[in-house]
Amino acid sequence: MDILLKEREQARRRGQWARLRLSCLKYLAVLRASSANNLAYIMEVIFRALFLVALIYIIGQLWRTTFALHGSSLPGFTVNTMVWYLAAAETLATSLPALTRHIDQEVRSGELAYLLGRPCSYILYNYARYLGERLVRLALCGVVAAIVALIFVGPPHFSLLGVLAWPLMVLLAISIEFVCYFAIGLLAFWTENTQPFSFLFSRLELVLGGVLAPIEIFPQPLRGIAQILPFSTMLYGPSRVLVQFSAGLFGLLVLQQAVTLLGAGLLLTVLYTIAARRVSIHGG
Amino acid sequence: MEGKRVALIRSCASTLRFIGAYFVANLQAAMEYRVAFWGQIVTMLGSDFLWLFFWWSYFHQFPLVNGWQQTDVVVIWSISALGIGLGNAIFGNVQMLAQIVMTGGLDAYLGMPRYALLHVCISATNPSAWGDVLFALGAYVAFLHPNPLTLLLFLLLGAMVSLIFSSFLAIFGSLAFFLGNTDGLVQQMMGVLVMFATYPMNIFNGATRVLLFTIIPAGFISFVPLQLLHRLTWPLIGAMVSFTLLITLSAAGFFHLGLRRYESGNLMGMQN
Amino acid sequence: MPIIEVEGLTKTFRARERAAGFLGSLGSLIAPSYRERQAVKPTSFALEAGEVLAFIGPNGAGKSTTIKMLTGILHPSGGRASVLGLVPWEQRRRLAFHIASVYGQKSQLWYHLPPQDTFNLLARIYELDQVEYRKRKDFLIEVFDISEYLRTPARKLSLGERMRCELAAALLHKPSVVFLDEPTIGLDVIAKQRIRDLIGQLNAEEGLTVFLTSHDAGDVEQVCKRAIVINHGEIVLDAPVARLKHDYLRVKTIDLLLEDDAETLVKTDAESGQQRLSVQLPGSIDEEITSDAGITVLKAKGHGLKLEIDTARSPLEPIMAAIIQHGHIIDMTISDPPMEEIIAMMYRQAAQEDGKPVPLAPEKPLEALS
Repeated sequence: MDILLKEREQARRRGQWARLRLSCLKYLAVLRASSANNLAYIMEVIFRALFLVALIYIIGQLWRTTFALHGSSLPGFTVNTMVWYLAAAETLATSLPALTRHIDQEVRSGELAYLLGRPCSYILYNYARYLGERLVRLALCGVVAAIVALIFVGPPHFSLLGVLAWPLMVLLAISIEFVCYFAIGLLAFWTENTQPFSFLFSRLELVLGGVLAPIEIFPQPLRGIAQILPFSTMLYGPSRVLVQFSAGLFGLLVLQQAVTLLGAGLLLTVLYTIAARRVSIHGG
Repeated sequence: MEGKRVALIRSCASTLRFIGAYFVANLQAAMEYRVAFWGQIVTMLGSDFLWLFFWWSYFHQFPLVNGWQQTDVVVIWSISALGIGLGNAIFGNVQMLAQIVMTGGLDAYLGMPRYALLHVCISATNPSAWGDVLFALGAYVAFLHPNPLTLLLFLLLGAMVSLIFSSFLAIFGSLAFFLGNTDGLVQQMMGVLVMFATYPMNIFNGATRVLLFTIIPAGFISFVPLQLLHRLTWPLIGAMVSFTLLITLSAAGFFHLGLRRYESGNLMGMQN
Repeated sequence: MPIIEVEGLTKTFRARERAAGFLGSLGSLIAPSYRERQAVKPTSFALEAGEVLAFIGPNGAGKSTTIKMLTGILHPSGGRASVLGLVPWEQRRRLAFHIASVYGQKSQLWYHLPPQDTFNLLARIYELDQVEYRKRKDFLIEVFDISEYLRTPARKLSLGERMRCELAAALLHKPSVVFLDEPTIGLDVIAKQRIRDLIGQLNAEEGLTVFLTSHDAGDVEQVCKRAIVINHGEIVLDAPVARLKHDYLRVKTIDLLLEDDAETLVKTDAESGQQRLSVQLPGSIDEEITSDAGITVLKAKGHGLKLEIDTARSPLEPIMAAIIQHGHIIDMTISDPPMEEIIAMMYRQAAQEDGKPVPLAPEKPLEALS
């Protein structure tokens, strides 16, 4: 009996990995495919790169000017660190796919009503799809951001531990974002338009999550708030650990990420259950 | 001569009524979803103040070179927010120009007895833009305590900035007539313009500054208004007005060129 | 004095050839190669005020291109046209005050607003005098019977209700010519009839000139007096609808669901492989019915039988009686052939008369902005 269960578990897990791999390959295939749409996709990436260039340039100039005038009033940070932090945070920020819109559409089209009976596979299916797209975008944005940062301040001074810790934290961060934006998408069951909520959430994430500067720079009341709120786990956490690794901070941030992920996951499950009940009562 | 002047006044009045009617209709449509409407405004308002607070404190901690007052960051943010907010509120649909051209939606506008570019621009609004406008007025009044005349100048400058901003987007949107799907480009250029406008000019070197007064007119969006609000000089206001006129006419002209191409039916990517 | 005059109007599109592959796309950006397509061949016709014209043809025939030229959206490659005395592409905005376009598939009404608000907006767009506008609005509300829905958001209206509001909106500024594109698409039978009646009424009472494009033969039959059929960019028929009806619309398609196997009713010709209806007509000794009698078997498979009957040559009733005699009919639908079929029929007939080769089907539709 146990053997059967174990085998089924293995098959399912393998299935998930296979799905993830397929999803990645699909998005890579989109890039390689020969159609007019493909050129548009590439152009979109180029335009996005333009924005990243402008952003890193401007903020980098700001840091440079500031640091030239005030030396290192910010302990442990240099222009180099700040710019590479910015590059890492912006890579995460600009690689977000339109998940809420996708879930919103699926809810409204009634597709979701069918699949609510099997929540596990539906969520995992979307997760694999999301990961595939997200990883490809991360790679593209990351390359662009890295090149700009390189040109602007030269090579980074990452520590080995930082580089090793970074992928784990990125994975946790994008998983948290998945759960949150998915949950917002589920709100489509109750509201006419989920766009304002995803907009609000993303703004909060950008401001309180420290996209332009590490949270240490924030003036005091804001700094405290930002450190407590979960938004810092999504952008600040991985980027900070990458540019300046410290074991204590790493432990703390990873813990915060894990807690956030669990909490958000719980919220999602609750929402999902309520939605499922609503569907079974109202018939989608 | 008299007849022509009367006709001109009448057509101006008609155009204003036209813009006003769309303004009302847009608001009505947005108000259909009260929660979303107010939610977007409050979100924008909140996030603008949050950013402002961050940068205010930052420049308080690390003041820049001479000439840069602490309140300057408020002025830059609020004049940008006012102009861009007004632009998005009144001419909110200019962002979609590239898409409208690409999907053939322009035909509906061409069948109407009004200037197509203007019609496209005013036919939709972005409710969150009002959050920017409210923020701009609130922050400017709260931090700078202007006298009525200065406030009036502030509003006038905001109006000019909104024209510059919308014309900028219209030019990039009109590229769709020539280059096909430039929707992504428009979005990014908008972001780039906003970015450059909301940081002090002092941090940029000479070459960049030239860029910021020409191709990416961020200089006219925040820097020149800032100087004018410090000290009103006629040459500078002349420059501001002239540039506004220049970019608005360029947008209209460029659109017209693109429209001629559209009407000949030989757009790239439209026939298969 | 014709209200619309078209002389030698023609349009040729020049499209850039798209190469396959990423490198190919780049290549075509640097050194493009062009392909020309003549969407509208030199065309001439004239329309008097108060006429109701059906402008029909398969997709890609050049209908929407012609209409775009008449409304001033597209510049022609050659020829001339005048609508209400104005050259459409040169005086487009001025002409727009006097014409209207209604698209069955695209709505002019604001989705989230009640039609009332869209009407007010249109009044401003068309610079209508407020007193005149109110009078006109009340008149149209009564004619279209939409007073109940005026304050309901458009998104909550049914398609039929929305279409009536759409038409009312289009007529607010008292246009002299209205271009209708598929006004009854997606509507149920009753709603369709209502729209057709309204168009007829407005034409009779106000002298409204109507330029109708439709794939629905019923629209053409009931509303229009004259039909222009366009295919491959040229006019193939310009005649009164009565003639169209007589020559081509007398054919009916009958779809039957039988209790018996459909194959029991047909006989297959050994050499040509063609199937023929094989029933005993009342009052006739022969069992087989030849194709001369104007009956074609379109499909005979399982329990489904589809026939095309030329009612001028073979009235429907005896055939129906014979089939009923043969066995039980579970379901039956009688319909007009689709517009594409009518045009194909036109070609077949023309070829039979002239001995020319018969084109089988319309060219693959190359859609311009339609």
